[in-house]
Amino acid sequence: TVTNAETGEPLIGANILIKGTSNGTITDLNGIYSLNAEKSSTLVFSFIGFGSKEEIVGNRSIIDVNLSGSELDEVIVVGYGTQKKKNLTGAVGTLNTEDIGSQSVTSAASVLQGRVSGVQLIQGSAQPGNDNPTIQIRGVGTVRSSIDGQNNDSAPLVLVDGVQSTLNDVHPNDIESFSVLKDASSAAIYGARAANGVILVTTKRGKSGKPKVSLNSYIAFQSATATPSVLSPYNFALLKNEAQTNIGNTESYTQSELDLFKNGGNPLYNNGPSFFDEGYRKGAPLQNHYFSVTGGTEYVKYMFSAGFQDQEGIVIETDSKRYNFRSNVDVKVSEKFRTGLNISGSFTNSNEPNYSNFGVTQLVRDMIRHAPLNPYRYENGYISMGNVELSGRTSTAIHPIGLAKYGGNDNTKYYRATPNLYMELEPIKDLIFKANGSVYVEDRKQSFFRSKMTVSDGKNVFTANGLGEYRETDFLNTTSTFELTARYNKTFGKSNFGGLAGYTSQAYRQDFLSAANEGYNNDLLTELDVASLNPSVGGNASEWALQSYFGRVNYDYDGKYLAEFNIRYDGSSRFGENNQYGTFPSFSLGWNMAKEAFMANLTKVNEMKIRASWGQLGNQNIGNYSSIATVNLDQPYVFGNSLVAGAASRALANPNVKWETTETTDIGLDMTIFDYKLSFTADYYNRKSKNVLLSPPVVATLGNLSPPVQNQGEIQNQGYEFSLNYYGNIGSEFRYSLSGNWSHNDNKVLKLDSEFLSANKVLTKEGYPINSFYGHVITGIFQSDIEAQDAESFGLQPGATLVSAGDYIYEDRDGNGIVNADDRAIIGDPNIRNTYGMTLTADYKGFNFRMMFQGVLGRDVENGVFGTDGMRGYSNLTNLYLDRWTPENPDTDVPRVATNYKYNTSLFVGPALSSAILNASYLRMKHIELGYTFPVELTERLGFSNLRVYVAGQNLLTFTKFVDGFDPEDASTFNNVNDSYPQAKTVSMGVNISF
Amino acid sequence: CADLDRYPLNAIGEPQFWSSSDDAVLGINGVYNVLAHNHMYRDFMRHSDAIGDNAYSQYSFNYYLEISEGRGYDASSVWPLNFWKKSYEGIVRANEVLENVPDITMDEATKSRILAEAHFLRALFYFHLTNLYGDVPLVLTKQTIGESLVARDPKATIVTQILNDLTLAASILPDSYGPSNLGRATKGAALTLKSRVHLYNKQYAEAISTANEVIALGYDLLPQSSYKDMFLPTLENNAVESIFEVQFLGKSGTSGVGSSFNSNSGATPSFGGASYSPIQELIDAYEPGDIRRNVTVLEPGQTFAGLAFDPVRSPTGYALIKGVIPDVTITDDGDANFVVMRYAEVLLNLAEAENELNGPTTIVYNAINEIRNRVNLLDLPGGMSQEEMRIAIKKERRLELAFEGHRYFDLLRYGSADLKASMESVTSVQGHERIYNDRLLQWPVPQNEINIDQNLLPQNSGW
Repeated sequence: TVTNAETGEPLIGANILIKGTSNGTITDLNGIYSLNAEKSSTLVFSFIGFGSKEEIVGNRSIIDVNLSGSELDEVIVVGYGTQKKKNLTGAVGTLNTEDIGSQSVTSAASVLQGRVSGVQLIQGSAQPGNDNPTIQIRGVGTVRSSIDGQNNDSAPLVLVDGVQSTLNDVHPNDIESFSVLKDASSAAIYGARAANGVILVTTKRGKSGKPKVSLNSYIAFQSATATPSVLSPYNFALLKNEAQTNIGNTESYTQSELDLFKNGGNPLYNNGPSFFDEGYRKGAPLQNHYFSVTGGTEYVKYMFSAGFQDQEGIVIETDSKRYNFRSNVDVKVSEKFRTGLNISGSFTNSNEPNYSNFGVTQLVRDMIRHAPLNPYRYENGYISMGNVELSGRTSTAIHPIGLAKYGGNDNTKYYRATPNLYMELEPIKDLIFKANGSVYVEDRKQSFFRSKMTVSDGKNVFTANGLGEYRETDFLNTTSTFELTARYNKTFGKSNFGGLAGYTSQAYRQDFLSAANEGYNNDLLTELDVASLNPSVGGNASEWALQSYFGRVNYDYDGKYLAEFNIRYDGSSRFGENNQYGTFPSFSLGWNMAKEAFMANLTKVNEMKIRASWGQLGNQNIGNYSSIATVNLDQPYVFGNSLVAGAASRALANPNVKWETTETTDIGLDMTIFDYKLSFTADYYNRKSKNVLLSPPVVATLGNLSPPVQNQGEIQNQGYEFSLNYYGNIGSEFRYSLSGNWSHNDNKVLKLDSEFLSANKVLTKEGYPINSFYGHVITGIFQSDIEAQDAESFGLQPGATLVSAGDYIYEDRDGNGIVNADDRAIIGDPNIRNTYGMTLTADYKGFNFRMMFQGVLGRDVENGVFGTDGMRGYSNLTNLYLDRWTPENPDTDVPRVATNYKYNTSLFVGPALSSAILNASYLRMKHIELGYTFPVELTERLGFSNLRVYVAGQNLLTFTKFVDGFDPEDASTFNNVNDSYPQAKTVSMGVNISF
Repeated sequence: CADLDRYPLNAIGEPQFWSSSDDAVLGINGVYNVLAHNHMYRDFMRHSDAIGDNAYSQYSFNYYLEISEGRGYDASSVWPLNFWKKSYEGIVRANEVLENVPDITMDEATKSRILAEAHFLRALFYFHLTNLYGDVPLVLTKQTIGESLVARDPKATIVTQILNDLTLAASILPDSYGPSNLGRATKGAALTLKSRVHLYNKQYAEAISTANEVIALGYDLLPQSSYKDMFLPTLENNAVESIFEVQFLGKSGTSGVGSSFNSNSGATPSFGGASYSPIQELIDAYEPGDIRRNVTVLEPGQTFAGLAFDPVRSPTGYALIKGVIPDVTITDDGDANFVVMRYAEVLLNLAEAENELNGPTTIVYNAINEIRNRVNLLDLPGGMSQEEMRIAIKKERRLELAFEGHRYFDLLRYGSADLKASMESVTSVQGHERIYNDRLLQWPVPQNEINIDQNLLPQNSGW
């Protein structure tokens, strides 16, 4: 029998496992179990929310154990150490990889989505080798973000086993856990780099015992979650005729041509498959294989692994292969001295079409906008470029599919390696000195080959797509880090003290090299040496360095009253000589109320902790040399028909520039109730960035110089987060869990001396969310020409006399009778307001089921130009325009088509139109999985300790009101959707084996 | 311990620069660099004919369309800011040279030539600036951010400064350069610009005398057979007619130093669509037999670079080919220079100034007929009135100097009647309508700058 140590009640559904195997059972309704085991084997008893116990069987036939909830000592990784979860006073989100099931993510960071509150993660793309999600923790806190708002300036600091690096090429199966440091108290130990939060990744390590081999393999098939639907050749021609007659031009296509488009008959007129039928693969294969060995003795523990992934992309001509390895070795030399070496590395090799030097996103764009009037190939065998039959009445560009297939190839190779050596000395008990040295090396080698093509317009044959061009670039990044820490723990009676002091220095360097040649006549030989027309070279390097001192003190009294204080003193080469060092303090308090006598009667409450924290963090994302005035030598001119160097200053420097300070207050509650079955965490935070790093504009009469980075302005992110976990069982065989989380964030610019308008449509202004959409409010569609020209009622519209029935009504907000720039307003907020996730798991006998939903509620993006520009030239439109305004179809919100009429579209450069601001909220089934673990009796016969097979799906279901044919989970907020690589809907099948 | 003192690895610290003659040369070259920018001669000066009545700019994203239509743009728009910024970039770079080079120990002749080049270039930048915006801040020395909130100075003050700079430059600059310095400003360049400045400001006597100073330097018109090649690499920097060219170098491996005239023309499939296209009204202006028509415009049915012209690539059905190299492999990395000043302009300046001052004298007839005869046209009929001659000179200037950065600026200086008439004359482009307003005679001071510097107020009238 297994019982609860505190109450003496039987524990239903507790796990009993024969150690080193997956052979086990669970207790029944009375807490009783039975199991066949060898005398020499060890039984491991565990129950969710309780500590575990091990018992050697020996000669016993009945083994009763009691498990204690108070023994629960879940330990989580925090900055420069670990902390018992129950003693934690900061806001740390954790995720153990065993809780993600077998989700077939190709980028390790993606698993955080929907599982950790406060993490705003947008997957964005499923492009092989280029599918790293954009991550923000608790909103955008800095102005120095691009108009897309999610670039590196607001990305969290990522440390893998304590080494600053990237999650991009880490094999998901190597990861033991994630810790997301969300508040200042938990992150302040990382000082000037922690303002955007910190993600700590811990990889798996060896444990004492006989070697254990794990094999995980899956194959998956990916398809686009959404495919744009564009006008067919016939509809295109029909609408183009309408667009022409709408502005008084003659029709472009004759009735007999329309018939040909509709019925076929002439091979010069396209009626083959649509671009997306040819350009998107359905069920693009993905395979991933992983091998690891863990084990060890008392003295040496090891873990090593290798992974391989081969992915074909949803878009043709895209693919990626990735190879990973990792080796973590820990050596206990003596009781006083430990050392270890971690080495990890990866190699990624990805391809995409060159597509006129633009890459694959341009292909997606062209599949939308390219006039669908010429076939892929003409009968003469050549790829089509223009159509002689339709000369003057179609696109003259190369057929998108032909250009993707034969226009050249871009290749990206990443080589990454991270060696990390540590030594630990414990001269007296509980005083540990640790030295840690690492180098993170990343080399990105890219090549861009644009091949010369021979194409045809159906009659003439000519060369196109350049001269045969090849370019190679290489970015070598090295980050070397040295750390020295000392930590000490001491207990006096019921008082427990812990302390940490440390020093770290870090140096970063990037070297860049590029070279190019032209005149390549053969697509097979594409090395630099092969041609020698118009050669060019380029190169560059930059550096930064950091030197810091830090410390931490923890105190708790009887586990009831908790306090922690952190401080970091950070020096950065990026700051001006007058401000090289900054201090980042934080403190936090916690009260484990459940331990108080007055709570003793509330036996259903197992844990209840209130915590509060305050602290300051820094942001040093200002570029490497913002404080130094320079003269650049890259201002050449031509004399005597040869290029000569020229020099000029390009930017103003600010020698006083310093870090941006983010001050976060966090109040949280952790509760565990009902025999540890239900746990609940809530946090409220207020995150204020002060001395925000930004570059207020300076007048051009200073010489059109880039303004210096200055510390100015204040931004607030305020919000709350909830997460809830419930573990339950029905009978002894059926166990289930439910968990959910909800995060809400409000962004607001509290103080800003002058507003910033980027790209003429993205405004950062005091009192509003950062990067708000700014533009004209569209109030409807004119129903008659008389109405359209009625300046008294509607104001003189921007299109003036060209405005007709079917055009957008721009709101004359100031009512002065003319619609102009003064009538613009804030019309959308690209910041994510709410994210949420829900997970359900169920286990019955060998079957296990898991389902995860994830969603965003409240995020605006701007619709793109392509496919929505009402036929400005010979560009295609999406099928949305089948519902365009016509006198016969007046009740619609899609404007008329009109050649070259530009006022119905939110253009790249023009102000945004409210009609183009889309709500990108969605709820999607991110993951679903059904697995079966074969009975031990069977697997043992095969020599395995565990054998599990599963089928899983990703993104199989999506609920959204977003525009048809496009995915709402797109990283770009500005001119969104129509040049993005699609998201993947994936079905996978896999097997997990261990022995 | 980590070394936190990290300095840029590809730029020189400002305090270390301006110490040698090499630095002086680098500095002046950096001023020329501004000329080759898209917002100056690489695109704007040529494209500006589409704001005038020679062409149509089809893409809304580069804003010329809005300016040409006379609406849809205002002080907050991109172009008023682009050109303002680029001009001051050139001016401040020239100021840096003028401030720092005198203290460098170096060959005195080279030093004074470099200073004279800086004076010339500063004058050129201020000239365009004041033509577009009228009163602008006169910045002649280095400023700090604290000193930067300047006010505007009267156009007359700017013009005086331009003329002073040019007089000084003309007194020092050489008549010509050896091969390695070909492309630097010459005495002829300074004088030609000066004659243009005088003409623009109705100082006709000075315009005439300065034009005559240029003529005295021995320039001449190239023969008819060379007319087309004058705008192509074949005859670039020729010592006969060419006076000042912004230099471009194709296929150098460095971006932005080649010209973009091919890629904007739409003449062949590999160039893509035309950014700006000659319009029917320009075609109609050519007299029969004028060879300039086929040097400037590619028409349906004609071939270019051996390929039949497909008019779909241009919304007007015509493609601009002046300065376009007949080679399908060259797109935005061309070798063709931008001819900023040539002898034909000097004759036109002379003719116009003489006609304004003394009426249609023989000097006027001779100058205009010299230009007409070269392009296969007969002499103008004798006995024209001053007004008739004025109209004839304007037309000759429009056709002779089309797409050379003159037409739009000429229309602005001719005044409201001419600008209005020219805008209203453009009716051939479907869906394109130009609406005149008096405010269009000057560009607005960029709102972006006014937001930072209230001293730039008041705004130009009507904006």
